[in-house]
Amino acid sequence: MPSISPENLPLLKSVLLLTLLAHFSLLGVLLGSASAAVVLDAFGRLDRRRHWRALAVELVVRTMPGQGTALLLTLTGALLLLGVQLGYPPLAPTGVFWALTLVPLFVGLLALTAYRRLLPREESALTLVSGLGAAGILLGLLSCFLLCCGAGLLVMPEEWPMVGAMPLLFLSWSGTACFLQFTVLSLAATGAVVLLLGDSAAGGDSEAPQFRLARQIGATMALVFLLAWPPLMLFGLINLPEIALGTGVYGLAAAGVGAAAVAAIRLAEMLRRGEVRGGRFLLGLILVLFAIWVLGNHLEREAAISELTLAGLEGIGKSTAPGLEEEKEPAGESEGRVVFERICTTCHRFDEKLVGPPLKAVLPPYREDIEALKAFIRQPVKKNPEYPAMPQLGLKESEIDAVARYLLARLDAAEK
Amino acid sequence: MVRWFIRLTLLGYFGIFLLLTASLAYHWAAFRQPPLQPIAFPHTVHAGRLGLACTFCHVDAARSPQAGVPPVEKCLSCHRSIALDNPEVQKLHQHSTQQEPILWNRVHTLPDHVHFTHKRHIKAGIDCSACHGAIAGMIRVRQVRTLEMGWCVTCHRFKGAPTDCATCHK
Repeated sequence: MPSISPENLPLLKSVLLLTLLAHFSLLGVLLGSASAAVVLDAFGRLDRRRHWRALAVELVVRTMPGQGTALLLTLTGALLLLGVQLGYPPLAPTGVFWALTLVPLFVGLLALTAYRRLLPREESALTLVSGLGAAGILLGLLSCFLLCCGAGLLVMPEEWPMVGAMPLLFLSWSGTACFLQFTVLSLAATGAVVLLLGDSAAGGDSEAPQFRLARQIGATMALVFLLAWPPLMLFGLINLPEIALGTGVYGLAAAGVGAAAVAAIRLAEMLRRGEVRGGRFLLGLILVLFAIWVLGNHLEREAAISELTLAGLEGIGKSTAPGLEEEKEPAGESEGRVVFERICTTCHRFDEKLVGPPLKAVLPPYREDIEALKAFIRQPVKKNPEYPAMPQLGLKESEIDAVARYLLARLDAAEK
Repeated sequence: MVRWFIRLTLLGYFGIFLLLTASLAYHWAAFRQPPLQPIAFPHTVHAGRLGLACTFCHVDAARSPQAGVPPVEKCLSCHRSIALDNPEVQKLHQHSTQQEPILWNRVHTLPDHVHFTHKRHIKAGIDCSACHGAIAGMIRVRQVRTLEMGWCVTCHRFKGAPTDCATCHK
């Protein structure tokens, strides 16, 4: 898998954001419209309310996908996963995840395509048609749930090393909150689409029962789900890990509540007056809420995934740390090397001045007198005014002995 | 009248959630930030640029339940003569002169009913950064893992470590 260079990463993440917005808003409207159509059609047939069924048919014909849309949405889903793979390489989605996300999505959208063809036919059995619609909706929701859980996992890097062996770690309250927020926004957007459907009827048709029903149902649906949005947004905030929090996240949450308030007040007043219009404005405002939701998730990821939080994760997957393996080696030269690299290299190199003098310049007098070298390491004495005093290192006797032997052995090797 | 009642009710409803969001934001800003320390000790210099091992200062991590912090004398072993013009090093010397310990503000805290021992984890081969992140990259140390029971138990299960209650709740 090719990797992205650091300078292209911001561009990739911008494209990923736009793809997320397009994918989820489009899919949300499709799934929401299908849900509304299934319910309207069922009530229409069971209660013999022809205009309910007529609205369901109108809604489905205007919003349901053809095979081209099914392919397009599967493609945007694949682009999302590719974007995550390139942008967040430590948590590249596995082949299983690709399959579990994209296959149900494609099959579900094909089911909705078939639903769109069958619903207008009066002779189609209710069970078959509703079953096809419900199957398409559930498969689409499954794909969205998995993507949202993936988003939840992305803001918890500490789980990454273990999720391969414990797949249930993939589920999280953060991911569930993300999915619930998507569902509510989708249904609010669907309400706006239904309202727009009622708005868009031309001339005298606008007073036809199904279009009056569309305006009423659309506005009510949008209002109910806009009211459901703030508690779910808060639920999401409470369940975010602390590393994912930031000023931008809180700011966007507040902006989301504000936008929902504007839309809800406008809808409530229209419903009270009985003059329900303005589907375009409402849909635009809900798309803004979708954008706020997508951007908020992006800021959470940017805060949670950094070099500081990713460090050490590979060690969780290992059984022993390299340092301890070295400590188990026989004492002597290798223990001396460990002490040298852990302590001495802070201030010394063999060939160059650092904080202290180059070791090849100061070690030769101790070649024949290792005890004197050990005494100096044990209790350093300031000898050269050009350098700061060497501190007492607090080493154990075995460490002093090992590092002294190592230093002299290395001096001999350098001079040969 | 009805119009204003509806408006006020909705404004009140959304206003409550706006207030709750603002409260969460305030709590995060006021109480969940990495603590300021009495001396601005930069791990970026000591653990980062100089490459000092964690156990150079936190000597007890591999042999005690507590990792601890070094005494003033440990810092002075180098800073008796290094970077004396640095105001933070001067604070260090003041503490030494006045024979006062540095009152570091703890960053990683577990509840009293949790018995966590550094020694056992280091002996098991867990690197410090597994739980503390890239300390060498932090100008001000902050907690980057949840350190919640769920995470600890998950890692114990993953590595085959004991998950009996008495392991951590003595």
